[in-house]
Amino acid sequence: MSERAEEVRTLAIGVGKGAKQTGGELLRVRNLYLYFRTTRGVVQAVDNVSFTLREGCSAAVLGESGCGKTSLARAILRLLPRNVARYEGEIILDGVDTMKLSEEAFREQIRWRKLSMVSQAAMNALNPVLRVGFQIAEPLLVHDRMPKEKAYARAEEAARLVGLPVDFLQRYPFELSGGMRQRAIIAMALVTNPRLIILDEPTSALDVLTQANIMNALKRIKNELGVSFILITHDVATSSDLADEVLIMYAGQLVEYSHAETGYRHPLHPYAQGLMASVPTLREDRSLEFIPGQPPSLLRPPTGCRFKDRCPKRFAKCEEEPPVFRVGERGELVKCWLYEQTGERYE
Amino acid sequence: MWRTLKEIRRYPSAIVGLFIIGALIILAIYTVIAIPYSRAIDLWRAGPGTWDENPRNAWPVWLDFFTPQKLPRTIIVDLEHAEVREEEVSEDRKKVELVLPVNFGYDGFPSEITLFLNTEGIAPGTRVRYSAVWENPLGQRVEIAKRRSMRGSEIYYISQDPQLIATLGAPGEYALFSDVNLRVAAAQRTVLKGTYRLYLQAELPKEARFTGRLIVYGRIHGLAGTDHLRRDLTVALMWGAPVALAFGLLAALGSVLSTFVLAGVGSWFGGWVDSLFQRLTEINMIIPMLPILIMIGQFYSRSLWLMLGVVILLSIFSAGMKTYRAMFLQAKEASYIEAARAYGAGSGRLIFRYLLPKMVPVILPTLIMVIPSYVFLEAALSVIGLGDPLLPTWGKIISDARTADALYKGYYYWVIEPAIMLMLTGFGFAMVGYALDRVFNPRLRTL
Amino acid sequence: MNDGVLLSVRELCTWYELKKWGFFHAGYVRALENVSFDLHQGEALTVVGESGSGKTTLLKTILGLVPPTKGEIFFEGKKIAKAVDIVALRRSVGYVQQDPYGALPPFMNVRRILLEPMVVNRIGTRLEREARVREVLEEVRLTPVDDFLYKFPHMLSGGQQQRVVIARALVLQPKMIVADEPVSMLDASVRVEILQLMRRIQKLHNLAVIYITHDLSTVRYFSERVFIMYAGKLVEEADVRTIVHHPLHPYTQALLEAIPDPDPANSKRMRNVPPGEPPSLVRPPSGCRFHPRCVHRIEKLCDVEVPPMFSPEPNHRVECWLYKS
Repeated sequence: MSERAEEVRTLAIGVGKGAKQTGGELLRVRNLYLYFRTTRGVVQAVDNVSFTLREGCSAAVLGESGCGKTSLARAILRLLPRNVARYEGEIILDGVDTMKLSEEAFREQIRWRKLSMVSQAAMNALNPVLRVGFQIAEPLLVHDRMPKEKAYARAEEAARLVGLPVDFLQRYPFELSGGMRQRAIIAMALVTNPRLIILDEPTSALDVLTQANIMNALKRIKNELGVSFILITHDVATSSDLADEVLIMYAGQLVEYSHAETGYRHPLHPYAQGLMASVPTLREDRSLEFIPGQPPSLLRPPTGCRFKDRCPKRFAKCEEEPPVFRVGERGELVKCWLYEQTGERYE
Repeated sequence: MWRTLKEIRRYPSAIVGLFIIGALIILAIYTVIAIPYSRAIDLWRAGPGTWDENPRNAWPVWLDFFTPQKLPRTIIVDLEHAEVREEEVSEDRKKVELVLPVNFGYDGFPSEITLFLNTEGIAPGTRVRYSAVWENPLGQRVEIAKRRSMRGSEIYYISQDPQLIATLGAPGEYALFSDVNLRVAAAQRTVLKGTYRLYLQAELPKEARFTGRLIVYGRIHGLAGTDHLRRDLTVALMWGAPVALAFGLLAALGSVLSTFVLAGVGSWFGGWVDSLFQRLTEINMIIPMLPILIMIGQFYSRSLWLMLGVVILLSIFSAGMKTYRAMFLQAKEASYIEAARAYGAGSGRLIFRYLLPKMVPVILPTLIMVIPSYVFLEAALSVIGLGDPLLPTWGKIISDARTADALYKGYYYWVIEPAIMLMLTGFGFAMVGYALDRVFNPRLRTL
Repeated sequence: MNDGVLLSVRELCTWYELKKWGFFHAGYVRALENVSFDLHQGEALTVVGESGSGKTTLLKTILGLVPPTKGEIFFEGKKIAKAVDIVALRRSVGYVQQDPYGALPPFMNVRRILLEPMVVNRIGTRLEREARVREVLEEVRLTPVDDFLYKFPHMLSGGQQQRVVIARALVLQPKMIVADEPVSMLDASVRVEILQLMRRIQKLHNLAVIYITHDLSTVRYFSERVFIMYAGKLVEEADVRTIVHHPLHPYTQALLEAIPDPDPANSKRMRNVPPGEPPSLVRPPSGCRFHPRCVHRIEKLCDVEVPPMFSPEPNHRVECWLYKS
């Protein structure tokens, strides 16, 4: 373990930022919109989302399929398809407003430099005709134009961090199992020492034990390198392995942003409460509840609070769309009229 | 699937294509009703007498719109327009004089002049003598025939008579329609407009009847013009539609469907069945189709339906087998097929009710797009001389035109018209096929 | 509740043959090795295992989709040997699959999908079949029935599609249901609904159910008994409570350690799980198949001899040398 810490420190020193920094804002998202144009109309995938992620913190984005979590990741990384109808807002990463950068500048400075992504079923994203080691080193060779030896050395360090045996770097992707490939992809995301890594369902296709091993690796990376993670998943239980904070999305909107303690144990928003109550638990003896009905269509979202049709705590004011309130001393955010008295409006 | 078919409305090219195909189908149906198969063959055989009233190699009438001059059309002068005078000569003979007037108001020369004479009511073989005198609007008279003999009936090709040409200095259709006294070549003559007259005199037995018909052939005729055998091209253009559609559709359906079903069966059972089909396909893909068709056409028969059958047979084990097999191999792993096996469905049902229907959206575009290839194949066969010898088809028109050196002689319409029909057909089907492909293509990803 | 034994499996082995170039024998994938158990009428059983554990192969062998290599299956006391027996077995067993969208033919509407099993097996008159379709749609709570009869799968949500799959499994009035990961492709909130629905149907009709999953945390909401499978072998069998609170087999212990509850404290600690991957089934490890990853491995025993089933407690079986009694 200490040997690894030694290696990790060399990697970290190369970056200039070591283990946990304190206090500063890493990612500030304000009024982010992402709408898509489809044959049936405009889909409001991400609707006015605002939150702030501090340095050294990792957040989980939870919600059902179609709630906009992946679109949020795409919006932050600017990986947009051609049918974008509306894309605006403020994304300040490490002090730089990335929305104001040109495509070229974004590509050079932000994407895969400060910010990288591990996408869903990423293990299928490996090029089958190139060796794994080369693919891990590729971002360095392309972006930083690093000399080959140095790039490969960094690739080895990254592989060790994720728990991928070094001799696998000489192999081709088909020779690796699913878990190994996923680790390779995570190494690829790490190798340029980004400040923030977005993981979209990184372990959904893997076995439970492999999943746990990879989560361990991610925890280790988080603690030792000070990288922040945004973990997007619908698997609530697994997300608790990594999350310091929890973002809960519903129908394209951010309905709650709270610390892990609050988010998992006593969530604020009624939807979050329903979601947590529907998660099966192994050790606790608890009966499960489910939320009847379905999320609204993002094509023509209802007026007022989007959860109102399924909310057990709905009342008259819910016909009007609630603003986001800041609640409690830790500044947790919730988008629900129930907190009008106790919270203050968050702009 | 129907919902996705409606998506086609979004592609204007496909709407145009559908329109064209619709028009072709209506044309085909109308043609088959208006000119039944046997009649079409008869017409096209161009036996003697069928097309006598048509000019040879005439352009379509709508050419007139594009030229400042009024182009001549065929004028047929029958007995009903004629003055008939009969005079008794003796006890049993009479002299008949027919005056056939021709009102010629066109700006150009006719293409041909022909006189059709017929005697009735006398013993066959009886000789009758007649004379013909031509009078033009200037009053000039030319003796065309002097005591010329005929038996029964006769067709006198005035414009081709060598004596007349020698006498007049230019072919009849030019000389007789201009100043006769000018002894210049045809190109330097100008046409005279006005009333011409042909005086026919003959002496025959009293009980006989003498009829004459003068046809002054024009240079334009019909919607599509005529060919070297005077056949009206509209017949062939119309008949080309049902033949092309039938050949294309049958060949496409026959081959694509067979390939589809066989690929499904082969990939379902795997093992030796699959291997057998694949080996057959590989061998068949190497053997070229056209030389085989040529051999069959040369040594056996050129019947269109035989060619169709051979084409289908040779197309079944083609590249499609490989593509469909790949798709089927993937599709047969689908969960619902496994579920059906679990509730007891047998192989036959599984293949035909579960596997194949899933893939129908995929072969539909292929089917549509392959139709024009077969239409062109039929035309190609005709052009190289292997077409059906009886049927009038578009390819046949092109073939005839080529043999008669149409392009060298300036009969462009003869080649362009069938070519346009072929191109329209190809265009129509291709547009619809491409649109269908785009509509169904996302489905391919959920295979 | 526990009536007679419905399904009995003895020493079942299913090996897939590997062929090189389509002809030459190149070994066997030993997907299922020596599995034995009894299932009673009205009993719900969960088989838990990761991918490659053999759970899906077990299901396919029971359904007759894959022929067993060795061993025997008895259904309602009769041995399943000939094709005729398999046909009879299939009529009494309903199959619920994982991917609701793939499990329903996209070109058939709900009514046709539900009619198919009856048509294929020539059961019932036309009127009876139509009535049964309506009945079964009511049972899975897809009401009003008329709204759903003529819909196609792509018009339904994931949860609704899965209900149709369940309805189809029930159409022939089976005695047993086999469900392969029935909720893993559904959203978290829908999973609960479907699991509860299946539980209710099971109790109502006293069905025997084999529920296959890799998600141990859903087990308790569904069945009383649990089997844990690893690398084609049945390694532990007990009731849910026992498995969760004192698992005996090292693999089961690892599984439990690996599965989190949504607890914010999780981010502060590492999970104690064995490294490595499940073994290849073509050349499985000698002796106990888990020994390469096992913390408690006994040298010269676990890597040499295959452990038999031990029963250290009543109703609790383990295949592990640690419990040699």
